[in-house]
Amino acid sequence: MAYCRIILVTPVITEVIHLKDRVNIIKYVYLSLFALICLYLLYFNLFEARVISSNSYNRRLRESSENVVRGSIQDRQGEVLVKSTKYNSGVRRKYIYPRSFSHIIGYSSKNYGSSGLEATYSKELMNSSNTIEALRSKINNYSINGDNIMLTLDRSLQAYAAEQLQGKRGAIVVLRPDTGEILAMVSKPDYDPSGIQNNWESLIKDKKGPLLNRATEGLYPPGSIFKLVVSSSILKNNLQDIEVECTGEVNIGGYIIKDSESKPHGKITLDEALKYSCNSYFIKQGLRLGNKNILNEATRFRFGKSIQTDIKVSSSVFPNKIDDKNVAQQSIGQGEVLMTPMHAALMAAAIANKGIMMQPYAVSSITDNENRIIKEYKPKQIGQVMDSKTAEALRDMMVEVVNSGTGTRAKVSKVVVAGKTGTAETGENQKSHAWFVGFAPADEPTVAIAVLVENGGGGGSTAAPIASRVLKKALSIK
Amino acid sequence: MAGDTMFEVLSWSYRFIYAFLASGFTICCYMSYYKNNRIWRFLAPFLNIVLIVLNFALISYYFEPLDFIALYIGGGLAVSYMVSRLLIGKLLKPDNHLMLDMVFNLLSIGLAMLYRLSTEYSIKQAYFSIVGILAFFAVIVLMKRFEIQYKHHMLLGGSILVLLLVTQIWGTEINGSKNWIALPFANIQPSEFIKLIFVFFMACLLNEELSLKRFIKIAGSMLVIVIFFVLQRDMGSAFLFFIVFLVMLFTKDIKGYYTAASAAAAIGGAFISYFTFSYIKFRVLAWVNPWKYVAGKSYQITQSLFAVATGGLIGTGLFLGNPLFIPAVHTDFIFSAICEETGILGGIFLLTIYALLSVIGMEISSNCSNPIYSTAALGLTSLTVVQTLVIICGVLNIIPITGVTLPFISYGGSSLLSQFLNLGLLYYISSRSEIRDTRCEE
Repeated sequence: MAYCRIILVTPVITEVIHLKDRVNIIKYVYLSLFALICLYLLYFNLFEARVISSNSYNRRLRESSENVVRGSIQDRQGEVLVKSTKYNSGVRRKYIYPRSFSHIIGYSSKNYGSSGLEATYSKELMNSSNTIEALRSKINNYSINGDNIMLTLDRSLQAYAAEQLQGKRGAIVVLRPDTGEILAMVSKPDYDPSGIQNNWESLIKDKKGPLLNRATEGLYPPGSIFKLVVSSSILKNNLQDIEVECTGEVNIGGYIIKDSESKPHGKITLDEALKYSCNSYFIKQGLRLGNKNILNEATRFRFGKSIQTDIKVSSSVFPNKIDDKNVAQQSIGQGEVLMTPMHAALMAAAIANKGIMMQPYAVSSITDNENRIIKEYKPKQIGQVMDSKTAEALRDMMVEVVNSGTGTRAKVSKVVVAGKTGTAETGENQKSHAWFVGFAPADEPTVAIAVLVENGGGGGSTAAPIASRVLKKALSIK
Repeated sequence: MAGDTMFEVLSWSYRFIYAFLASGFTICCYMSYYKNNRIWRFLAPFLNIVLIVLNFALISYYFEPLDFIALYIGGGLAVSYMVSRLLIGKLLKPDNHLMLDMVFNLLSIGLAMLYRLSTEYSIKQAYFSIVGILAFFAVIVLMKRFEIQYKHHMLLGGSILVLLLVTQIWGTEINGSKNWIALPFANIQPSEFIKLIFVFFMACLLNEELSLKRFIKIAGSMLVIVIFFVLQRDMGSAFLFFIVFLVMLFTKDIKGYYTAASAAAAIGGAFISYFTFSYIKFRVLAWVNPWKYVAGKSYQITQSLFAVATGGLIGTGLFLGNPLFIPAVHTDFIFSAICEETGILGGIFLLTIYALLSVIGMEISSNCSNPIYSTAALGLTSLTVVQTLVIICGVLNIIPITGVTLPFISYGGSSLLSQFLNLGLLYYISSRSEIRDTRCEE
């Protein structure tokens, strides 16, 4: 009998134990899924909520704007750039320097959403961190005074830079190389943010695209300023001392790329080639390095990667094409290579900062309505894009460019400037884009710059003089 | 509407009180589960009642003059909660009332939030709750008299088929899914009741040894059910049923081949339906890149994300947010509304409570010696858990959105009724295991 019982019971027991194990597994799977969602909620709140809630499709931003006196925006010297005042009829936002700051500060409109820093910091500008004040205003039915934001930008430099591009289309970005603070960021043509409500239709229809922030979202062929990236790869692979014969043009299977004015440079090495921006040299060296090396170097310089900052920056593009014709074009920054002026300034700043690229930022701190600091933003590294030796070698060559090469018109009196010009071809029957990137003083850089003039002609003749004036002004500010 | 500013201050401050009490309640629930002593057992219902009273008092204060309907709902809820606790004690003598405490907590949060969103829906939901509680006891009484055995599987399967056919033929379309039946007094959603029958049907079939022949029979019936749901454009149910089916199969499938095959088939089916049905493609696209279609097909999900993002850690305070910007906020998206006004902390309290419900449900399944009831308990718990996970992940855009309700919280009569029946069945199964335990000791 006992034997029989064991036989009968055994399968039942194994089955039950087996089942229990499985049920336990499922229990823990469920539990961990619940835990993961909790963690995701925390993550969402910490890292994503800010950006999402400042999206201009969020109707809440408009709903609450009625009872809020939006905070003010000040420049790095504490000068007020934008402020809101309450009238009986409502709140009016006044842009004191409407045109010179139109893209970086942006607009905030009930019907058309918001852009620039007005969008990114909408939450801060509309909420008071001063809890007592917030409560008191609720009890007394006052309106809330939002927090204020302090910019890293300098009002006088910004206005001066904007003046330099008057009547042109283009962008200027000025940075502190060691911190990433944006000192000035101009995009032309501009618009008046206080008139957005009345002029919206004509602004969006305007073919010149005044609403586009060319400094961060304009993608342009970099032309010869890209040679800095190729030079970095040449230095890394120890090819700088190889002599290359320049005859004034290169023929790649029937496709001919000429040097400017088809002037042959003779037998030259890297420093000469960069100084005179010799296309033949860079094409031949580019073909020697091959697509893989240049692509790697470009990726290290953050081509194809996003750049985190207070306002949206488009990613620069370096296509992965391996045929000789494309490699040749890409070695001199043509073909399908595209770059934003912001990224060009970062590239110069990284060379100035011993190869370390800093994350650009435009807001240094947030203060409440009693001017107490709520939050301060600290410099952050993007990463080391080249070693310091390469950076130094590039700097020395860039000094020569300004000293006696293509960029002599970027000189500033009593200061050594390092730089690189670029003249990017844009197609048949169109004037080239003029580029200049650089920094100063060369031995201890405090400012880095990128200048782009759309269809402005030669980099050395159009962009370099603008850079010279802006650099001089920038060197005087604190 | 009340003296706005005074209310705002009150609601703004109440966020902290709510976070404190709700975390207290959650801790009490976990403590009384893991250390079943008298203090926690007393504190949990006490805090629950306090929460119910305070929530509805605040809501009532919002309206001017004081809104008595809100007070009636709150009071009625507190009373029915106490009565249910007493009754279930008499009926089944469970060793704790934890499940009931937690379910009433969820129910009260749901009713309060619905009242805030739309008074009309909350009042209807309050009537549904009464029906639900009655059904909860009715199903316990019924189950005590009727033992489900393997031989009933034909009856269960048949009734599923009949209900599906009835929906297919006489169903009306609401919100894009043809899974409603319009009756003179109400619209009902048969899939909510099919769920429960389905769990027992599968539990019966899986009770026998799992041979290939049997698996084909099981998989075939599963396929028929899923096809019906797809035809009725009810992807939420199709997905839910299939996951619950996989979980149940997994606990009976020694080598795991059948589970793996079914999962593979499901993935294949998902791919095919992505390319065949435009409404599925639509939702997947809206999920992958919500910001691209922010003004179009992703409107709903992005509005939900805005709500959650606005809430922050402890929320805007009741009535101080704008959850009504989200379309269908009272059914599918109520979790986002809760996150906006009580913060992600409010959301996390809910998640921890659902988590403990799942632990208790799985425990009931483990403790039950009758294999059919044990598997059924697993399936019933999984229904609630999977449904919760699917809708919460959906509104947070972790997975594409599928229209299922948040158990005990979302507005919906059929769904609430089905969840109360589910709870009743679980209570009954838990009491069975106790009967068996005492018998063994004898």
